[in-house]
Amino acid sequence: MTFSPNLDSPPLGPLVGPPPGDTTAARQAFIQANTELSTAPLLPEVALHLATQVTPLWEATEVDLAARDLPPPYWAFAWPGGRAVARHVLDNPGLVAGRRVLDFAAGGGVAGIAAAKAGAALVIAAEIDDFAVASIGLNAAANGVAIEVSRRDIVGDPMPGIQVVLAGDVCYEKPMADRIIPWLRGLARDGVLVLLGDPGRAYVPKTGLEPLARYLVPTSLDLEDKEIRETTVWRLLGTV
Amino acid sequence: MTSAGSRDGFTDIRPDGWIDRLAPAAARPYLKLARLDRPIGTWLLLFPCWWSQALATQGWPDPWMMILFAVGAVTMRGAGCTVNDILDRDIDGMVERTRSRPIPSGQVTVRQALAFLVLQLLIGLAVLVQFNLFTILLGAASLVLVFTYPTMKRITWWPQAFLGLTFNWGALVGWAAVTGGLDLPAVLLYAAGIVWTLGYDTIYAHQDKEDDARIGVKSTALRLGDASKIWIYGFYTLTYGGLLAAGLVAGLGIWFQMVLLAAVLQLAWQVGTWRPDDQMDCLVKFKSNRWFGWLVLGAIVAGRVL
Repeated sequence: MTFSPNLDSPPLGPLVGPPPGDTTAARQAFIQANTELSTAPLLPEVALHLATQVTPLWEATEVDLAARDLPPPYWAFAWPGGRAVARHVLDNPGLVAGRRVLDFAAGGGVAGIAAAKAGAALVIAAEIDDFAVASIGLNAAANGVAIEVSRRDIVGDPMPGIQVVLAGDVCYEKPMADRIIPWLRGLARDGVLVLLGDPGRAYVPKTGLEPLARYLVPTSLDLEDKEIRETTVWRLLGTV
Repeated sequence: MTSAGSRDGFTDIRPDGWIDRLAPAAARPYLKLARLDRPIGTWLLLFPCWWSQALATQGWPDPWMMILFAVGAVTMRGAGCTVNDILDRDIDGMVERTRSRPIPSGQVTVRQALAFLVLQLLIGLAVLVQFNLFTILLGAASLVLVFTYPTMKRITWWPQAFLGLTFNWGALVGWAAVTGGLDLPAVLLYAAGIVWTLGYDTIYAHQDKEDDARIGVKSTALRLGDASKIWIYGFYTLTYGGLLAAGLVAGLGIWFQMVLLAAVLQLAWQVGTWRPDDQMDCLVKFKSNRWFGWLVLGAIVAGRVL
């Protein structure tokens, strides 16, 4: 995937600041300098630090990023799957209220923040990307909610105490989907409510899913090949 | 140990705290289970006992009884935190901030933590039996609150109110220890303590770095939102009213009211200068309630001896 949405147009400017140091505080300073606190369509009530068309990060190419030793900033975009799950949770707070929620592969934490706003007793955002972790902290603070962070690769681990798992847009690559889906199904078999937000990615399972809601999620042509992504919030079942 | 976690400020275990510098290695996990490196919780538990004891005493409060309350506060607060760490061990192990805690990091087993809990409860019991029978029963009744609080925090939007009921139980116990019964001043003091807790805990809830015995509970902060400051003014005004009423009903004189004004100014300073978005400031204001505790104690003692 490229993060050079407008290769034809000249970049607005270089990324702001030196390459961030190896601390969360340094990454957060970088994020604040290179994103804008804004909202994404479909989710006016959740503030997020996002790459926008006026921020340098939007224009950054993978070459720019690699030169600074930065991984692709998935966390700086609110992907349709996560947004749909967030919308669904905000509109159906009973799914998470008073419960312990895991926002898996959380990115900027949009679904987890929605769960916290909907009254979850505890939200843990799992992310292995250090920049995503840093942005979750900023985004949680911007929304006045508490989000706990797990920075390990937890796929395959049992999740004692977790009652709901939110997973937005996790089926865009086969190796990742092949690892994640069996694990999530196992959790579902143990009684965990697993919500999967998916805008029609290639590797979403074909069976063992129950549709809960469909959303027309406005997206950017620069990131997706359509302006509107019809996105389904599925309940992943324990058996195929 | 998770060096990345501590370097990034993700862990709530402090590698530079006095426990890791001074305590014998074998004792460290237990001292951490009891949160002996974070004394503010103990102070907040202890002051209502001391206030109540002083309020019920003609003249100076008995120092031996004050020591008993101090030991009781340390052990019972430690027991509460140990229960919390035992109940939350699975979740604590998943969360970056809490995975270095003694149980999830494997420094102590659940069995060992349970044994330590029993030891703390026995010390608490040894303290309790120094008092009269009514106080012993009253003190034992507090266990119901101590052991249900970790559960209540998950099922109610107002866990702070429950926290207030628990943390201020000493306002009843102190009076009972001196008089052998309960009277209106002690009940008024208890009520004042509960609204005091609602106030300082709302300040506490606006910061999330210094987790103590809770996870994910920012509910009053969330619920009150931008209106937090106004609410805290209200809570603290009621605190003043309750303390004043308790003192007047107990027959305290003008010196009590004078020194209590200083305590009220401390509350006004807390909320007046409070910057909700500044994590450090939230912590400073929260911890400053120790000074409020001393001022109220000073006011009550002044009212009794001057």
